[in-house]
Amino acid sequence: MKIDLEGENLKGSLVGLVIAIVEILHETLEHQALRRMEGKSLNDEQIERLGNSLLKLKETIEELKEEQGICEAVGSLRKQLDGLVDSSIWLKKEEV
Amino acid sequence: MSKGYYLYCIIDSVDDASLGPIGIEESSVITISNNNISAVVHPVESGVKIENSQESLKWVAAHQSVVEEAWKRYKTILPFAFGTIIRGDENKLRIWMERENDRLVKKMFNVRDKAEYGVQIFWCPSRCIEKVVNSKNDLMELKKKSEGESTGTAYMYKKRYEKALKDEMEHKATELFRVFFKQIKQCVSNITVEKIKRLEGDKQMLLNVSCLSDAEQVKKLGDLLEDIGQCEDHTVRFTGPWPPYSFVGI
Repeated sequence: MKIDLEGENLKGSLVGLVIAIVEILHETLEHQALRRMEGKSLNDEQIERLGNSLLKLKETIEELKEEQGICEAVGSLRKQLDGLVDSSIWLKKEEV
Repeated sequence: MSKGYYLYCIIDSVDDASLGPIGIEESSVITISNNNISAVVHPVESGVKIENSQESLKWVAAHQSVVEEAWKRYKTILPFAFGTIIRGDENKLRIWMERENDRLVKKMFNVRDKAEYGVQIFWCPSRCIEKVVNSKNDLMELKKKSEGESTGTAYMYKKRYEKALKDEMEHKATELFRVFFKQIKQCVSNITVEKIKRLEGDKQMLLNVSCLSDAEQVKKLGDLLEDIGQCEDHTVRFTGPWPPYSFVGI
């Protein structure tokens, strides 16, 4: 599977790709933070600080997407990246 | 070029008949009998070569229509998959039927006087959220904290609430599947699980099964599905009767 980056609007497509990757990083960080919170390894102050940082990062990502007009492009890239991950998992299962 | 027979289905009667030009590309469909069974076929000069997807759809539809015609006419049939060809002349076809006779007769016995029915059950998770949240103290607590704490902490609790709710809804869907599947299985002769299809919007498929039932069982199944459909959270799609495509295993 290949990821489509539009030839005519390479700059916009690259920004979209970067944002999509930052979004995934944000979700990964958030997932990790929730696990630590559920495991009670964070105190109240750390939870508040982490929550604020993650919220600000999320808001910044959304603002950037709006400014660049790439909400749909990022959504579509995320779907393609999900497909890439799904097919990699499938290939790995086939190997096993 | 190898000669052969395109096989639509096997019937449990001895009948050398012509069904007319109802086959793929209007081929003349005939029955060729051997021992106590007959094959519904049309002669082919070579393999089936599909040029494009539109043509293949037309051919699949023609295949199904012959199977359905045979099913109406002969009642007990074993439908074969689209594209099955027995290579060789009529004698080779009879030899194949003779060799497979026991297996085919046994399979035919399993589907005699029965038909296939499709059952799909759907739900709209968003309509059930409130009920689910109100039934779980931990979810209610997370929801409360996601609304009442300071910004960063509220955000973290909101995310925990969303994750816990998603897990709970998945658990609920699995549980509903298990309950419905068990109830349906008790009403029918045989059941196979089909792939759950993704739908647009809020409606989600909970269960997709094919059931093999006789006339009495289908009445029970209908009553059960009516009960399930009466609950405002679920909708039911009940289709059939169809030839027993999913219970032949050939």
